[in-house]
Amino acid sequence: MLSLGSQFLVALGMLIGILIILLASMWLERKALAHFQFRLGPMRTGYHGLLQPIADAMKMVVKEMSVPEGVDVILYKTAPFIVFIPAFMVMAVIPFTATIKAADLNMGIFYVMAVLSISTIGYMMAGWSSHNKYSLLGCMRSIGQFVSYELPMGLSVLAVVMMAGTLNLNSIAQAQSCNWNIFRWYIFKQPLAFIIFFIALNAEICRVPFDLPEAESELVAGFHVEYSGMRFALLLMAEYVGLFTLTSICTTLFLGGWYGPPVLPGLVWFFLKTFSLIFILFWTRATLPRVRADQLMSLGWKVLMPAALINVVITGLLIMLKVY
Amino acid sequence: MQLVIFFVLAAITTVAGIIMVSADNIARSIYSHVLALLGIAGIYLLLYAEFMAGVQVLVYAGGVSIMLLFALMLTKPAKGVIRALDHPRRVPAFITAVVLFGLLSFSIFQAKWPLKVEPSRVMTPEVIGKSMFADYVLPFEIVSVILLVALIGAVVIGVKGREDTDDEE
Amino acid sequence: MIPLTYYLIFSAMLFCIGVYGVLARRNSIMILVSIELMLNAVNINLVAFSAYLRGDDPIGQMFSLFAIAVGAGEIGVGLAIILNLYRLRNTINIDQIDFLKW
Repeated sequence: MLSLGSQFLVALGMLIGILIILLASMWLERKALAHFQFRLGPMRTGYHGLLQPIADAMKMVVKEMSVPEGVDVILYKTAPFIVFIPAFMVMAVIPFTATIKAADLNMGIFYVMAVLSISTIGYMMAGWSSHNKYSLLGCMRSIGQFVSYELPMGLSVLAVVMMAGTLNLNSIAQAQSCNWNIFRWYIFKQPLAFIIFFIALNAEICRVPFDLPEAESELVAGFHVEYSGMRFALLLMAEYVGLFTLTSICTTLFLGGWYGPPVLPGLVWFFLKTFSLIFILFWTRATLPRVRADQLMSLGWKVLMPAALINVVITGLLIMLKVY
Repeated sequence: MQLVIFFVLAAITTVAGIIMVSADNIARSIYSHVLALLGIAGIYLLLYAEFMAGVQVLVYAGGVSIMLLFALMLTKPAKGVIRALDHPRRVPAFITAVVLFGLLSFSIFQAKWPLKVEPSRVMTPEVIGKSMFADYVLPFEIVSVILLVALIGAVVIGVKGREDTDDEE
Repeated sequence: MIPLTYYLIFSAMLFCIGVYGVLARRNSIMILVSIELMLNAVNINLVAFSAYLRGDDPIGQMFSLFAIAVGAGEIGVGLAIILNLYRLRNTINIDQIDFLKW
């Protein structure tokens, strides 16, 4: 166990690292979307727009944090924090390599699911206290979406946990340890669970095609329409940080964490896998249209949940027959 | 150190509970109920019951609270902020609660508890899982049937009311 | 090391706050919320007893897990009933829901 001082340094390093990754993924998203749409994206701020996220951050910091009339002030001011903090809390259990991690919880993945469900309260608080019809509609839809997709996410994680035999994220990654034998990764043993988890991940962080809660063209930006300045920056950061942390969890569960052919160090493999998942998410954003609210709910309840349940049953059967 | 954390968590939970039962604005009281549930999850962590803490956050703070907030949204009065004025019964209720607390704490301090030394640290989810599927399978199955019945029943009750209102209009 | 009586007093306090909420509130949803707080207080009691009196036996946590599950189901059905009542009578104030009185 590291001493308290070095633990503090690891945590500080993680926080600074996540901020840098946040800025990097904001830039990457705009460039990727632009190139998918045959345009160039930000080119003027810095070399090829590298300073664009910093310009965005500065803009949001200097904007006025106006509080509209008629809102419930305590709830309005607290809501962005409740949205933002769970996305960071998930980072505490992600194993970047065998030694670089903040906390080695025996119930790692259970902690992740529990913490993600706190952020739904934050979205509800934000939408409710904004005293605005569009916010209320946006938050009702977003809560329905989050709750509906938590279940397939949990069930697909259950299949992985059944195979690894533990809830500890470190041990799940080590159960997929490989040198050149990539086929030990769980994505090849549980393809259905990976697809379900990926779609549910998409819905949990409100990315297209599931970004109805913050639909810019439909709901006038949904539940964060009344937020401006630093509070809006918190909500936006929550989305990008959630993007990174949930894809890291997906990497740890399905893609073998930090394991890979020994041509690169483990940390580089981890970030390579995570960023390729993030790139696939940007790719789907550029390609797919937004789904309707009822299509979204029916996909979650009628397609993904039965599929996840059948996956759990089949996995149990195969484990019992000693195939896995 | 643990004592300090216990008192902080107990204070947060108690204050949240008091806000919950006495706030005029119902939305605020439900959110302080969420805070009380999170405080109770912290107390479970102090007792080394980590699985219970996770279940508490997942089920109560993340599920039941959302249900309550939805029900609040669907039953608001026609105008204004939702207020809960309950003056006539406050004083007898307060006296009842205080007397009950007095009786309970008197009996707690009178009893002689056969104590072990410390809360055991072995309650991992693995132990709970093994025990649940080895010793307590029957309650597990019965609870799953209860939840199924509650789910179907809630849907049936909810749908029935909507059809009645649609018929009236 | 925290004495067992501290946990018991804490859960008794939460229980009595819940009792006050049930008796004093007029909104049916708030009564359900206070009942939930009482359930949580009892769960703390069970887990504390299991931790302090029976070290290796998870029976207290089992009991409270099942209590949480059943309590969540009960709140779901209760809310469905309240919603139905609201659709019929447009009120959830329990002082005005006295149709079965003689």
